[in-house]
Amino acid sequence: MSDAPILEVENLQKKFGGITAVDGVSFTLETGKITGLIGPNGAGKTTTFNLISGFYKPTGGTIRFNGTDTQEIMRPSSAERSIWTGASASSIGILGIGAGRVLFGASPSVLAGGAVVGAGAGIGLYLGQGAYRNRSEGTKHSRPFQLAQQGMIRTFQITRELTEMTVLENLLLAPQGQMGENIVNAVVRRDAVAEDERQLREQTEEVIDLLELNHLRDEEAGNLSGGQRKLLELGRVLMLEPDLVLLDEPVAGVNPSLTDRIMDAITSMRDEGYSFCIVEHEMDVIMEISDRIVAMAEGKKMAEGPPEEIQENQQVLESYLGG
Amino acid sequence: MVALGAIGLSMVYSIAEVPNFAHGDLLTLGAYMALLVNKPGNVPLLDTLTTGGQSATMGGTAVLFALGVVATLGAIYMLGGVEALLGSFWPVDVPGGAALAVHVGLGAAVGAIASLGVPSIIAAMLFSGIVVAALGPLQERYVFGKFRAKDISLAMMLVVSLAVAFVLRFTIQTVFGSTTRSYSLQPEVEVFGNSINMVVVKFFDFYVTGGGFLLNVSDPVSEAVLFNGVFSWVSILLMFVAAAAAGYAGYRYRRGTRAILGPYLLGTIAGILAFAVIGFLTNSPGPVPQSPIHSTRVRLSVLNGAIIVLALGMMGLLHTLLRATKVGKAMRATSDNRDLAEIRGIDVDQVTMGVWVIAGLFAGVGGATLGVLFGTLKITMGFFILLPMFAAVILGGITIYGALVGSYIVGLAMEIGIFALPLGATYRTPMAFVVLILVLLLKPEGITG
Amino acid sequence: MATADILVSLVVLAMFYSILSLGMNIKYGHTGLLDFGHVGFYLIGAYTAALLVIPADVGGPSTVYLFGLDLPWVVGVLAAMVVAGIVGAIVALPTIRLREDYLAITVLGVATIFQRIIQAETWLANGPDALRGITPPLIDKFPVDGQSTLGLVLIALICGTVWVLTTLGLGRIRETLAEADRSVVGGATDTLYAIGLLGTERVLGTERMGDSTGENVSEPTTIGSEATTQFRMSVLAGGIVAVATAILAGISTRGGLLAVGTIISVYTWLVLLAGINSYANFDGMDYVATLALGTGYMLALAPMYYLDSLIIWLPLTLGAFAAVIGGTVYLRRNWSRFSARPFRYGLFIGVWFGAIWYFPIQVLTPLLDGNLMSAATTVFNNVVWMLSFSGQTPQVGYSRFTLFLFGSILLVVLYLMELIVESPFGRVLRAVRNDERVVNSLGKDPFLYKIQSMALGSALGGLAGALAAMYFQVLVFTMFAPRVTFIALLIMFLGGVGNNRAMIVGAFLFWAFQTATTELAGFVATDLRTNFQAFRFVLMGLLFLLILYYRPQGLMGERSRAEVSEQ
Ligand SMILES: Nc1ncnc2c1ncn2[C@@H]1O[C@H](COP(=O)(O)OP(=O)(O)O)[C@@H](O)[C@H]1O
Ligand SMILES: [Mg+2]
Repeated sequence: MSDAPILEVENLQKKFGGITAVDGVSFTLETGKITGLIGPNGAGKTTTFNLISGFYKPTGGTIRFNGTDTQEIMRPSSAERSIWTGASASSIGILGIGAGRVLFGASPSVLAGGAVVGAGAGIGLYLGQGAYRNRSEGTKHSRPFQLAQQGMIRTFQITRELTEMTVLENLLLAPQGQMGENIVNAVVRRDAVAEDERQLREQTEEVIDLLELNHLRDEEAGNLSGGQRKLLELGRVLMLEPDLVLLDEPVAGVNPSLTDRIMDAITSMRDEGYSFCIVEHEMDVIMEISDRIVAMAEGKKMAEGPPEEIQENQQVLESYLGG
Repeated sequence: MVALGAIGLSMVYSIAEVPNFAHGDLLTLGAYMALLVNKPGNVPLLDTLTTGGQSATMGGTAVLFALGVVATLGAIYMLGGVEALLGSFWPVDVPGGAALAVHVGLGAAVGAIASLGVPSIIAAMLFSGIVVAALGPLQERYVFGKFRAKDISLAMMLVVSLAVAFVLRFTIQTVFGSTTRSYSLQPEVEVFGNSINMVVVKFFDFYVTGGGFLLNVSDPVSEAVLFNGVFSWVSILLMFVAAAAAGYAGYRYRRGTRAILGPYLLGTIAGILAFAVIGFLTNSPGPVPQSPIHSTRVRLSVLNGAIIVLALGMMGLLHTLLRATKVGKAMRATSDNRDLAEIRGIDVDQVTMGVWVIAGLFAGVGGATLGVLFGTLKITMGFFILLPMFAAVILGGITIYGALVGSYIVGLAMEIGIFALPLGATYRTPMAFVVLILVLLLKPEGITG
Repeated sequence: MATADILVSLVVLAMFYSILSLGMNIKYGHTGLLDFGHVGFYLIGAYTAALLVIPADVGGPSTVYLFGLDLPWVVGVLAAMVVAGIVGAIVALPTIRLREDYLAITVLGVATIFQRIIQAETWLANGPDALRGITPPLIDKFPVDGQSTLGLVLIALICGTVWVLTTLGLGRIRETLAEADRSVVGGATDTLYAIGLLGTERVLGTERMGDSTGENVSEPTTIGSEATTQFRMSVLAGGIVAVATAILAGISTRGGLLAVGTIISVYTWLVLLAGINSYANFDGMDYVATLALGTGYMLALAPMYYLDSLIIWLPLTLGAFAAVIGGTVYLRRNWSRFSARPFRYGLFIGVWFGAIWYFPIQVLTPLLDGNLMSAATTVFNNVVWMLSFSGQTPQVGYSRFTLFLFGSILLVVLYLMELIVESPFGRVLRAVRNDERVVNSLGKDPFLYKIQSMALGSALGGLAGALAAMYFQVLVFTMFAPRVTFIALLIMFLGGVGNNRAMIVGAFLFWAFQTATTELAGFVATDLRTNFQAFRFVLMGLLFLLILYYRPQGLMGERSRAEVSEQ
């Protein structure tokens, strides 16, 4: 466990048309700690999460995850870019051959020329559209899966579970780098995939036990209650081994005894070295569990500090009463 | 002429939230409905009531009349049930009886025009517009409305509309068979005592020469030159400058207002007027050059001109409706956000039905127009115009005005595309898609959206 | 064409349309990508295969095409899949990020462009005219009658495969029965299954035979082991049949072939009966009611057959139809069992209708003429569908070979698709269909999976296209109208969205409807035939709407995941 913060947010800003949802927020999340993010409704907490996890492109500011700019992490690899370039070059190249053939007849030199011109046009087209996009949308990337691969996992405030899939499947989906997710393996190396899958299932059963979802394992997630959905989202996180977990109101609608158990689970995970950032409205819960608190209001950071300090903070209390 | 169809399609798309694949076949339906008036002898079942090709017997006349009345009242009924028949949608309060009387009178007028107008193509267009306006909303009432109530996804709605398209197309084919038909157009029309030949094309020849630009309009039959003018480069420059200036002035004059004659419309009209006036003032007759740098011939008949005027007129009416009436306002609100409009107390369902009526009207007239322009009626005509229509609508960002802009872009692309590249006419439709795909790649939300 | 041939061609068509719809199902059913341009990949597959296998100079001056490589069909079919898959991926690259409606329309546009290219570019594949001269594999060897070694091998192969397919089907039926715990009916089925397996369960069977009352629950850890055993047993049984066929037909060409053909045909009929029976779960009353309705529909058509004047038969037929439809509706309203499972009853009425057409109607004329011998022969020929008869000589015609070939391909494809769909890969696809953002937040790139799904689905479309080229032997651009996509969609919704096996059911239902109406069209006055053919599309569209409204998950629906994961 190093002392460097796992996440540093600097001057983060997000505008939606006229609304500035997040307005120059800076804070850091310390490694191996639980940080609470609080604030009245509409303060910009969810938006901040969306920015950190890469679902939104920030209008300004930087986010560093484990010391690396998240924009850097999400940048498409050069291999990917060359695939795109190659694909457009070859497809337009084929058009070029066709055009050459139609326009000038079928001599080899014409066809070759057509191919070259077409491929050139294809590359040009691809670069051109890239440049156009950069100009109109900015050079920011939004590729959350790459952040997730680096170990940053988030849940959603309005739960997003796969409604047409069972609880079991929802959980089985989560782990990364499953062997059978490769279509070739799925067909060719069936035994290895089955073995992989068996281990996964064992792990899943543990999570299901922990969340007390046993009786629902074959229920479609769409039929769960709000609290159960929250649990399922959390379960997906537990299936992974992330460095940083962003939880957006994880226990809203969950009964108190289960809330306690979840909080226990989170604390013990923290003790194993995971880092958390939790948005929560239940003051008792968040104050108890958090090592630090960041308080937001109207898109701005209002206060930051240990829970005891924040509880005394006049501004924070006011904003909650007023909001 | 993609525009007439595209407007209806985009209205349905944006307001009723149905990406309607059946819209093309609605146009086909319009085209075939016009046949009822234009060539009743060519319509199955109706042909037993006609004498020979183009005139109806008493029975046929009665049938057409009845159809006209029923369709008119049906279309009005679709606007809002019995209350609509009693005038609930009128901008002014009138006693129900009076409104009903007016509506019946209107229906009778349509019926009379349809039955007595045989075989005039204009009467046919009116008739098919009204009939399709009455039939179009049925789709909403019996199909799309039901599915919307089940809150299905957009993708499912697409599939549903595809199925509707299938039913519609093959119903038409069941009735009419698969033989290709065509309208018979009366060449001579009496207007104010002058007989005008509607069908024969006039040649609009454009020549680009070193000294400028020459427009020569001639009648190929009589070989008479109707107009001849050379525009020097200076005068062309002048025309463009004047047009731009007038356009901008018009735009400035109205900027910020939301009247019927909004900034863009006024700007455009002023620009075109200025262009024409300066052009008229500065040209001088000149001989047709022997070796122009570039020359083009556009063929245009009076009928085509009339159709363009008709289309512009209908668009103008729609524009007025959208800008100046409460219904129009409700429609625009619904188009922006259906749920919000509902919360604000707009009767969304009624607005939707109204939209379908209008879309049907446009599709009916548009279909008949297509029949005239293509020269032949085919079962697949609607489907092939559907693709460019969708391209236009998506290009325009699924708004009514966007659809207009999109239509012109797509129309131009189709013509210029096959003209500039040495490609056969088979590639007309693909050109529309090439434009669409390019635009979607660059700007998925459309041009004006 | 003998009636059995019509049946065989129905099955063959249904088979490659199953593959086409399987492709659609991968895209839409599993991944949620609505591809209105599916026909485009069908086209690519068909023309790729055709150009690869066609000889370079078959056409003469009237047929022009880019090249003809005269390659074997295996290469052609594989290339068709690869090319269609690659094109699918390339088309998907720029379009797949679009909103679902934009995506649908754009790919429709792409498919239209493909079609127009074929139409306009004469040098490519004979332009607007048909591309002819496609010779299906081994067609010159047929019909075979077992007198040559090659003939024997082919016949043995075909018979063996038919046996395997039928036995596999029977195994499924048995499972369904066991699940529903209907051991009474299961008794007969089990006997049949025991016969079908030809004792192979003694060698391979870990599974208990003959008692289907419970205890059939297999260990959840061994995924699909039961299915594998079944598969092995069926294949072994098929092998035995193949060898036996070869021996019998080798000993006595005529008698042996006749015997084997009869046994296999009867076996398939029995399995078909068992399948229908297990699906229907009817009692005597149900049978009587549906038989009455099925006969009623057939009778309602009678005026059309026997009266010449349109003015007379049209009202009569329509009236009779109104009566039977009224009867059906009345039953549906007032008979609770009927209204609970209308599809089952509907299917059964259809089956009766088909059976009446297949057997009694075909011999009506000879019977009325008192020609009993001819009638009996016809019935026999129709029963023994495996064989075609040239005079008295029993033969195995090319269409049976096609059946065997397509059936095997379909089976392999289905098996692979089930593997893929049940794998973690398939799970990600379903997750993408449900909610891309979740997939994204879990560190999986939805884009990558969508592209793969498009490529896979398109490759299946290409495969179907290659088979179509093989089957039709002639390709025209009009065969690749958007209507094909519509049919694939219809089949998918008819069977069950997201359910691979249901594609086969959907395809069969669709082609049964098509065949039935085509046969009917034969009796309509010539000048009204096009109208009639259009009318059946109207019916089809209406049917589609009804399905979309009342059963958007399809007749079979998606297989319950819980059930799958239990295996
Ligand atoms: N996608 C969006 N488009 C427009 N405005 C948004 C969007 N998401 C959030 N907002 C606005 O940003 C503000 C902050 O919202 P949010 O981050 O959800 O607050 P919190 O989670 O703290 O309750 C709100 O005013 C909300 O209306
Ligand atoms: Mg929030």
